[in-house]
Amino acid sequence: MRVEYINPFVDAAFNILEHELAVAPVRKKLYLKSTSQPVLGVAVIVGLAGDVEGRVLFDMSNKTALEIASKMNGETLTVMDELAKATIMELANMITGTAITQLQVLGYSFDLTPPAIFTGDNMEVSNTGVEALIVPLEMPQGKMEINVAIRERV
Amino acid sequence: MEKVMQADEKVLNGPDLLDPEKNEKLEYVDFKMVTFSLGGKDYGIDIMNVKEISRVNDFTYVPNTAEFVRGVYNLRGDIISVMDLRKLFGVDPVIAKDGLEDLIVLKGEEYMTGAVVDTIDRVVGVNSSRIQPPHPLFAEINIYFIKGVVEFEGRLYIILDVEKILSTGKTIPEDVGEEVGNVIRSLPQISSNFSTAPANNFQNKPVKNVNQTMSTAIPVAKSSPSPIKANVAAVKTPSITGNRVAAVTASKPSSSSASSSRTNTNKKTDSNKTTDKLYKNNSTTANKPSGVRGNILGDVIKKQQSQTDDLVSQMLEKKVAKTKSVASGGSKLDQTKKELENQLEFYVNKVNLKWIENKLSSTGSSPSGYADSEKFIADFLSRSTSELWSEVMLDELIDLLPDDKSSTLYTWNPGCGVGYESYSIAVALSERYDNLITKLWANDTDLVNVSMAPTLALDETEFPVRFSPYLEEGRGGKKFVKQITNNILFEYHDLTHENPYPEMSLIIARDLLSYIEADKVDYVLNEMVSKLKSGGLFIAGENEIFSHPDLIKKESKLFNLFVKR
Repeated sequence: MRVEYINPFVDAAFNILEHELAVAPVRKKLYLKSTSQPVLGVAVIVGLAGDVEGRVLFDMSNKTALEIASKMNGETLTVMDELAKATIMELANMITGTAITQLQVLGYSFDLTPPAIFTGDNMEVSNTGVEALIVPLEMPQGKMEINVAIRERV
Repeated sequence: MEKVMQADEKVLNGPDLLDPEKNEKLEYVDFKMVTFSLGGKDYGIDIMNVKEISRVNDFTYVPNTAEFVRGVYNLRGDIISVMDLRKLFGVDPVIAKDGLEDLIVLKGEEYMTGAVVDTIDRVVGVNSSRIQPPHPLFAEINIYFIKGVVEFEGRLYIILDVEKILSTGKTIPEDVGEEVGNVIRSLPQISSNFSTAPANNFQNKPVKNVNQTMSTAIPVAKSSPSPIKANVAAVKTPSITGNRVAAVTASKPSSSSASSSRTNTNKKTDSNKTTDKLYKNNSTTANKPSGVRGNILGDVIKKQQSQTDDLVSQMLEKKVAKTKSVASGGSKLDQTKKELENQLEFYVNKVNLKWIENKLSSTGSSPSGYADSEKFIADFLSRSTSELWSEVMLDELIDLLPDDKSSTLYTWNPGCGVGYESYSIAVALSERYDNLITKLWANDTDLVNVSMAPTLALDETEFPVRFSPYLEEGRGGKKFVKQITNNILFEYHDLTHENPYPEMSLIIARDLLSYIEADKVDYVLNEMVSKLKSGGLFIAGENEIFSHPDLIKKESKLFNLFVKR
């Protein structure tokens, strides 16, 4: 992944989460992964098109997702209902949107697709032809991995 | 005042149309900032957030406020609070003779605040695409107030985030301001691209031979402080109450000497004091109650800081352990293999085995330690490793390049490190072709190195004259022109993973395979060959030996050249 893209994603994730959860997440070391990864329980995917093609995946456990949704809504949610799902999708949208805006300032123009949320056990997400950059973040609510797999449109 | 007037005129009149060379880039200006200096460094604030500037001295002090709050000020009827940015960032103030201080009135979404700075300079207009976000290495530090950095006419401006400054009074404990100040002071060290010093050791020159390694950890320095080691240490240095970075590693002295030698070349003479203050702050804050408004944010930042310290010290320890390890047992060859792997992440595999064996029989003993290992493979590495290519190399490459039959020509330069080779190739391509779209994909797994590549800065003595037309003055030295940088895509990519690249006409992978683990060499080689077009060129390391059914060896004076069937 182009090095110029890395920082906007990392920053966007950090800033939005900090703002929404009122707590700064802890950034762990970035690393690359050959894509085909088991999903922690809840996955939100936002597609990217434009100068690049690919997607951003927000991966977290069910418990973490519920806690984050609870915090964002100001009420305790115990079941992954429509409200909780919508909240998590909104979070993904915000992070991706912020990253895209920052990238636009740098001169790269991307479009994003509406987010899609996947919930379930024993899921796996695979891509061919693209490797993924993993940005691990840790919050009091649990761990979240942001998985960016994009390639240049040739 | 006169100076300000002139500067305004300059901005108002726009580019000098009579002498286009004066304004190298007639760029569209869409971001203007008011620039000022603080503690010897240049800062900028988006002009949209600035209501006005003035010189004043009649603040009304308000008791029981944070140290950086100067009080309030009557701005023609409006009472605004005034903060001293110098106190906020922990910098010694520069007081003018007449007692007047420069005030910038910031306007945020909710209210206005005044900010006292050392000296307000002028309005600078840039194209917002030139604004760079803070370096990715800052990942673990809370760069709270910084929106980005931009370079203009040879000076580096740190753009502050006004919203964050305005909300300072409300939610941020004092310690954070200090920590941020520490961070800002250490900024030029972390990214040597933004160095304030002219050519000196601490320029963007990574430790030489780690340039082409596939290491993922921050490269370790040898005995003397090298820029990257200083970087790591500098990352560690900012600390806040309760978190003594005090005596973790020997690298701390080197980072402080780096910072003091850097700031020495600065115009302001109080910069030395600034460095000293770094230590002073650390000790005096130990006695302060931790954060009058200490809240979750402060605690989390502390936790984050200690975790960062952990991460960094882990990495350092890992590297120190490696340097200490002495391969014991096994044959001389095994020892050599282990040592080269540990010290340099150089893997003995089928492409270099013969060379290593020969070398071993001539030296008689396996290398031990970092310096020894470096010396051992010094002759193996291809010419002009970790530096720009010589003119003869450029010429030979240009001779080898095919005629432009199609409209595009793609090149792949895996294991690019900091980018010297990539830039050399790009220059050769630029000289050879006029009407071709030439894109160069350069990648490495060393995130730190490859992140610095797009903004690589060279000092005066570092480049062959041939490169001059492609370089322009920039912060920290000479940088490559847009015409070159636009065509290079630097990526953080692991070659053992799938790659998304198109078919290539040219692959330059000199010594790359020697930095790939033995069991992955075949995979990587096959990947590269399969991406190569028929008739495409492949350049390997000068001393690497391999054969591939689809590659035919070709004559070349300076390169280990192959052509694909």
